Amino acid sequence: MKLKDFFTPTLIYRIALGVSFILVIGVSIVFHIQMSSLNRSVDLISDSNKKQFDLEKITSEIIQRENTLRSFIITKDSAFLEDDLKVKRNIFQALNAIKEKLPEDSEDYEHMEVLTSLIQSRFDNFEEILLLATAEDTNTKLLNLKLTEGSEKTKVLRNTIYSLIDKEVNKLKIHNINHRYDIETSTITAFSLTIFVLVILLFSLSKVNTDYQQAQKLNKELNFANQIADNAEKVAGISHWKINVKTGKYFYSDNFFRIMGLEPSSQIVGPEHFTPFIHPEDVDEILKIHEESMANKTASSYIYRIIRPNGEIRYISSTGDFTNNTKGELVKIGVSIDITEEYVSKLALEEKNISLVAINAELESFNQIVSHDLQEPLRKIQMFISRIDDTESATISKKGQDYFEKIRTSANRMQNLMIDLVNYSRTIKENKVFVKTNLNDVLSDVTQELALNIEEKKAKVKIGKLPKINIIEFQIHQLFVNLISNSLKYSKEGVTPIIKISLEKIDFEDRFNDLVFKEKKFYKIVVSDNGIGFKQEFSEKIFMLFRRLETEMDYNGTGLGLAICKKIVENHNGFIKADGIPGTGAVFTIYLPK
Amino acid sequence: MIKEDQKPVHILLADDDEDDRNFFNDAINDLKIANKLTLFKNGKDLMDYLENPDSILPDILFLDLNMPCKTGNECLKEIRLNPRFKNISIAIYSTSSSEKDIEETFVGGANIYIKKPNDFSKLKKVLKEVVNLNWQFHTSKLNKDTFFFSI
Repeated sequence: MKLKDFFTPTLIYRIALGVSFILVIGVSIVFHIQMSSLNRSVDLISDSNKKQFDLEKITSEIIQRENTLRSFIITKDSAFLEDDLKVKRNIFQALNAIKEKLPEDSEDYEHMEVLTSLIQSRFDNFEEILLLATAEDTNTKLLNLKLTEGSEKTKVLRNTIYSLIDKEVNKLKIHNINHRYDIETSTITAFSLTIFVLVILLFSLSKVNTDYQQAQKLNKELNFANQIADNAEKVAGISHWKINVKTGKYFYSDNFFRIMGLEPSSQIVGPEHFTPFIHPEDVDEILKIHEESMANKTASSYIYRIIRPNGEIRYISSTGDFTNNTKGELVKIGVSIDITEEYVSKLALEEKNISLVAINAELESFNQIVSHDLQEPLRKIQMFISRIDDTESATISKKGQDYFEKIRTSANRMQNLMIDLVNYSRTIKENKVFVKTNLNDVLSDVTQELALNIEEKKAKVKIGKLPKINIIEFQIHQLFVNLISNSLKYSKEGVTPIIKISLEKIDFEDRFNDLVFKEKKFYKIVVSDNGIGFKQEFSEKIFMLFRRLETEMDYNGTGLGLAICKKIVENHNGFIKADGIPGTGAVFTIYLPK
Repeated sequence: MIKEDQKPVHILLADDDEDDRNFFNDAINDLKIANKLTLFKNGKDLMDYLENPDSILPDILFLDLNMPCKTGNECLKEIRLNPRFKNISIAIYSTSSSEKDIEETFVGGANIYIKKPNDFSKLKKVLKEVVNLNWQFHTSKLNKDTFFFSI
C-alpha cells in the first residue's frame, strides 16, 4: 500500500484533530502554570511592598518617638508621652508581621532579627533618656551623652532599615522583571500555540473540504454514469443482475423491472418474487437450470418467456456466470435481454425458411417434371416421327408431309425449350461450388460440344489466352455454349462467321450503369461476332426471359439462352452487357470478379 | 447376315414403357447382330429371372431407372451385391440426364449411362456401339466422363 493511499483525507483530518486537541490541552496546562507563577510573583510583589511600607512606618515611628521624647525633655509636659506605649507596640507588631512571613533560617529573617535587636536597643536608649530626663537632678552631661548615643543609634537603625528597603526594592525589581517576562512568555506561547492550532485546523479543514468537493464531484459523475448506463439499458432492452452467493442478496438493475413491465425497484427482492412472472410452461425448467447453476457454480444461459402484469408475453434471454467481487465474495453476475422482437422475427424467419425449403423442393420437382416426365412423351413423339420418316414418308401426300414437317419442327422446338428451362432452373439452384478453373479448358470443351454446329456453319472460333477464375464450371460452360450458339444462330447469310473470345484490358470507358470497373478486381472477357447484330436499344431487352428480338428471318430460339447467360454471370457476382450494330455484329462483354 | 457360328449376344432390357421396349427390340433386330434379347416390364420381373439359378446370365443388361415395383437403382444395387453377377455389364438406359442419376449409378457400379435418344436412327447407332463395345477395355479406363455415353 502506498503512503498516499494510507493517508486518506479522513485519517489526516482525524490526526489533525487529535494533534490540535493535545496541543490545546498542553496550552491550557502551560497557561495554568504560567498563571499560577504570575499569581505567585504578584503575591511576592505585594509582600515586598507591604514589607517596605512596614519598614518605613517603623522608621517614621522611631523618628516620631525621638521627637516626642525631645519635646518632653524640653517642655517636661507628660502629654507628649501619652502614646508612647502604643507606638512601641505598633512597631513590634509591624516587625512581627514581617518576620512571620519569612522562613526562620533565611537571610531576611536574620536581617529582621538584627533589626529587632537594633530597635530594642534604641528603645532601651529611650527609656534611659526618659529616666534621666524625669530625674530630680538631671545629669545633663549623661543626658547629652545618651542623646548623642540615641541619635547615633537612630542613624544606624535608619541605615539598616534603608538598606533593607533597598534590598526589597532590588528584589522587587527582579520580581517585576520576572513577572514581566512571565507575562510576555505566556502571551507569546499562548498566542503562537493558538495560531499553530488554528493553522492546523484550517489546513485540515481545507483539505477535508477539497476532498469532500472531489468526492461530491465523483459522486455526481458516478450518478451520471449510472444514469447513462440505465438509459442505455432502457434503449437496448438490456438489464443486469447480481446474486451474492455468500450473503444471498439479489440485485436487479432498474431496467430489469421495466422489462418485467413493473416500476423500477418494485417488490422484487429475490427470485421467489420473480418466478410468478415466468410463463407457466417455462418456470420449472428455468428454476431447475438456475438451481443447478447455483449448486455447481457453472455459467448458465437460457431463453424463457415472462408474462407482464398487463398479460403481454415477452421473450427473455438470460446469461450469467460466476466471478469474485471486490471483497472476494463469489457473485453470480448476469444479463437479461428482452429479445421478443428478434425472437419473433426469428420465428417468422424460420417459418419463411421452411416455406422456402418447400418452394425449393417444389421447384426441384418441377425441374424433375420438365427434365424427365415432360421429355418422356416428347421423346416418344420424336421417336415416332423419325420412324414414320424412315418408313412411311413415301406413302404420305404432299400436304401430309408439310404438316408432318411442322410437327417435327414444333417437337424439336419444344425439346429445346425444355432443355433451356432445365438449364435455367439449374442456375437458380443453391449448391454453388466455386472451383479455380482454366477458362481455356472450359472453352475447348464447349467448342467440342458445338463442333457439329460450328462445322455446319463453317464458322471460325478464335479463342485467346484466358485466365484461371473461380467459377461454377458447368454454369460457365453453359454460358459460353449459349453465347457461341447465339452467335452461330444469328450469323449472316453468305459470310463466314467469325467468333472471337478474348481477355481484354479494362479501360476508363468500362462501366456498367454507374459502376466503374477496376482492372484490379475484374476480368473482362469479350465475345464478339460478325453476325446480323442488333439495334443498341435492345441491348438490355435481349437478356430478359422469353424476350426475342424481332428479326426479318425466323430464327429458332427459345428466348431463354441469354437470360440464362445473365443469370450465370450474376451467380458469379459479375456483369454482362451487349452491344450491337445491325448488319455488323454483336459484342458481349462479361466482367467476372478476380 | 447373321452368322450361325457366332455366339449370340445375350441382352436383357428392363423398361416399364411398352413403346420403348418395342423401339429397343426393333433397333436390335435391325442391327444384324446375333443376339438373344429378353424384355422385362419392371425391376421385380428382372430380379426374379436373374435370381433363378436355372437362368442363363446375360452379357449386357439395359436398365431403365424409373420403374414401378423395383427401380433401376435398386436392381443395380442388388446385382452388384451378388458375386454371381459380376460379369454382367450394366448399361443404364434412361430419359433422365440429371447429374444426380448419373452420379448415383456411377457410384452404384453401372458400366455405362445412355440417355434415351429421340431419334430412331440414333438409337440404332447407340445400341450398335454399346453392344459391340470392348467391355474390358471400357471398364478398365472407366471414369465419370467416359461413363456418360455420347455419340
